[in-house]
Amino acid sequence: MAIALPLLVDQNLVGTCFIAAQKNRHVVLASSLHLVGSGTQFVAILPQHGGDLAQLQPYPVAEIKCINLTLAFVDPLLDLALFTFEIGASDAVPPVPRFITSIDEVVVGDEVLVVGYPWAVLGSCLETAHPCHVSAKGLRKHGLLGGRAEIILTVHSHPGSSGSPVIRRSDGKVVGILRGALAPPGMLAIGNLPIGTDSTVTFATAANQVAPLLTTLLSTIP
Amino acid sequence: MNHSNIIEQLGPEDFILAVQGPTGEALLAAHKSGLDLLVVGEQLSNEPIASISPRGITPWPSDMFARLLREAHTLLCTDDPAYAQIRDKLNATQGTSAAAVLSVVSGAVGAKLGFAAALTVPFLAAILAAVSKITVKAWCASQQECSIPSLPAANNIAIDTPSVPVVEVRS
Repeated sequence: MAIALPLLVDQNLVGTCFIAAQKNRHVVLASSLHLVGSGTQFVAILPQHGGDLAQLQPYPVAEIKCINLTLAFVDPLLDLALFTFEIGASDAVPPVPRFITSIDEVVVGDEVLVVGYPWAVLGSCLETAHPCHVSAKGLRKHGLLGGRAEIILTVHSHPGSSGSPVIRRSDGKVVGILRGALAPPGMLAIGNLPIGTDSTVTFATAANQVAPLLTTLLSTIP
Repeated sequence: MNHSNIIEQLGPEDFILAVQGPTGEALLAAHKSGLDLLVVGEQLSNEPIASISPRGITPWPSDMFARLLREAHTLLCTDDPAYAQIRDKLNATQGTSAAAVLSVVSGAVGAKLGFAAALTVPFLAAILAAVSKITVKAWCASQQECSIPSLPAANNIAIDTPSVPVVEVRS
């Protein structure tokens, strides 16, 4: 299971990130690139329950512990952002999840959990694990640029869910990183929240495309 | 040797190969197919929010590529004193890799525009690859012909980011 944390960009809660890899006390977190936008300050919140969903989560939150992150890598085609931070010598090394290595490992109908912070954009730090299923596997074409493998989920996603790891229930592997929901053209919007897109057609970047980039990033860490 | 020579000594593929992952692969394929890397770069810059309703606040700067292009023009084609130190830094990268050049340029341009340096890397790689395809002088001339639009200096983003309290839980 992956440890998911709320992500702040320029002091605004925007979504979810999760611990994806570590090496020599350097920790890598993954999230959706579209959350980064024109931000320059990136912070992960360490929730009081420590990411352990078996624990009671207290709220309202009286105080928060923050981890300053460095944006280390982006891939626009994957809508992927990788952040790093360094843990202290006395801190426990966090566990890291395993990733699928091929989209073929995912079967339509697989039961998965979306682990993240729905409604984080409204200030919520309540972590949820939302059970759902893989409803399709897709190849999003990019015009001139080839394609990106995506996993489509039955989950009803919310603002703040972007960047959530999608975990397969049977083996705990990360199969995707949630991006957003189907957005039919011409939908009404309230502010920047489109309405009519709360369908259960939610897209996630297939995680097999992320694992090699984590390896590359870790290779740059001494 | 000046910064123009340093960029011209490196080929388009040097800059493209400095970009890891599917984006780097797409840029390389586009280059080998003879596509306009500036068109490809602009398309890339819109990919993170393409075709979906993102599930987070999305202050994604839809004009990011145009702003990066404009700054690259200012850096390479003018004597704007804002980039004087960066030109010196670039000169110091002589004989090093495209990654080193990209690191200097992304740090400077990112800081000027208010973007994280890492965010700008793939897009600046596309721009510098396009420059190194010809010469800096020829590229500057071509950009003048295209008349790069003047854009606001900062915070020109597609969607305003509301200020959100971080301590209240609503669930």
